Amino acid sequence: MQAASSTPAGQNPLLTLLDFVASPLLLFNADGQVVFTNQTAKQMACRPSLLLSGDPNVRGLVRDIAAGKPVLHLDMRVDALSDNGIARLQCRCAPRPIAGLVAMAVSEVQVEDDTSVQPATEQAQRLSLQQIMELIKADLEPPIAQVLQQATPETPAGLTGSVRLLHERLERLSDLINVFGDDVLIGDDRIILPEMLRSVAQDMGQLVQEKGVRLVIEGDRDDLPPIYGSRRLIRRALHECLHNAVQHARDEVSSNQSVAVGIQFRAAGHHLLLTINNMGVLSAAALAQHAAAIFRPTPAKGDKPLPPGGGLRIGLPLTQRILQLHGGQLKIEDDPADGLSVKLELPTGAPLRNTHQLDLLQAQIYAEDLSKLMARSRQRSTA
Amino acid sequence: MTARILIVDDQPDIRKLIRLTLQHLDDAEVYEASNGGEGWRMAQDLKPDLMLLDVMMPGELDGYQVCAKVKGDPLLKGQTKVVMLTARAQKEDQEQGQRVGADAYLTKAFSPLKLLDLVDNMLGTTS
Repeated sequence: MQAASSTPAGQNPLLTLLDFVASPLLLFNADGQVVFTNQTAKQMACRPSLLLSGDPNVRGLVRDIAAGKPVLHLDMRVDALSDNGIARLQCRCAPRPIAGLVAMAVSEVQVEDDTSVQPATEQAQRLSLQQIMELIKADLEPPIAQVLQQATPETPAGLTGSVRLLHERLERLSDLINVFGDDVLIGDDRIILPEMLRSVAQDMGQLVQEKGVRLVIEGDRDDLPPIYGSRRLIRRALHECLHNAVQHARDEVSSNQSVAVGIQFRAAGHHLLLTINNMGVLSAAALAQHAAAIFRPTPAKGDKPLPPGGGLRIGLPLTQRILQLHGGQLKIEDDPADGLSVKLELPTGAPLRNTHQLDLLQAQIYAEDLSKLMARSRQRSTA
Repeated sequence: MTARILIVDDQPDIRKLIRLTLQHLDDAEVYEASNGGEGWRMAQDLKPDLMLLDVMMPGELDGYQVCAKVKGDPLLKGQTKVVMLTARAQKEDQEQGQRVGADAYLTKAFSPLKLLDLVDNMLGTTS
């Protein structure tokens, strides 16, 4: 707990604030000369204030911003000779001046190996895995949708079911590519896990009914902490776990036996634990032989049996990767008393952010308000 | 009378910025918490007049949950105003803020002047 403290007397609050920003920042006057360097920038070995002060390109950009001219490109790359060789600096200017000065965030980028530099045309032709997947989806989805739209009550149920399954697998493949591809974006959706699981279970109603499985949910309290991340991916992970649990709940069980899939929620410290297990459906010995049985791919009727240990087994690595991307983990446990269970552990609340990341925009808005804030304080003190 | 203001945000830079802004208030004691759990415990102890509450924070409680607890607490609900201060600018986020009883919602990056006006308004100290 900290009580209020004031800014040291005589210190410009704007400069105090900029010193507090963790990114290296410089302030330029309208002539392109550096007039202020924050603490982080001072610690840079290449000494950006010396390299950039008076640089003709920087001066041109700074002059335009200081003059209030609209500037299209606020980013600039500057290569300059420092004491330690060539320094390659990535610079980004604030779009508007602050008290007549122009702020610039600076970072040093690593010098690329010349052999790794590709011709521009070749770079333009390269596609990321995600882009390739999007192209495949764009190619396959229209005919799939067409088949489903043209289905009539006379269309064999097996055919439409297979087409839906094909679409589902396409989506699954897309998620797989997305989580293992380049630059995975997780997002910050607020997710109430029990709510989402109920929705996933509802979507799976037909399969649950067909299999004669009962879902037993425990610990589904309203006050469980939320998690933050990708709604789509977390839903995918829940779907994979629950679908496989339901799909295999009746394996090696005679048809007249009642089977249930248990789902338990539990908050543990800063984590939320979700356990999905098949309740009393297989003997302990059978469970031990199939440690990852819950993730077996589902062969369609007529398929050749999967070779031992073979098959795609996409669900397991997909779910593991999704949880890993969210700072969580997946455990498969085989307990003689409780049976085979899948445990999803996810951190609650938002991921820990870079603890010093006051962005340039926020600093700029503060700077713009500063004189008005000062005037307001003076007005109040004289009132 | 000195107003008690509790800032709950996991980003120290933002807490610092809010603190700098609140220095322009006539009379206020400013306290800080770095996550929802700590914020809730401090709120119970301090019974602040105002909480400036971030939404997305790591740990056991996020901002919406802290707000719901404050507004559900018989000792705090009539005493403590809550301003959600967050980067989440979607309409549904603001609606969620309303559902948990927040008195106001301000999105980041925020104008310190607007914040100060809002705080004045909440505390009834507008001159």
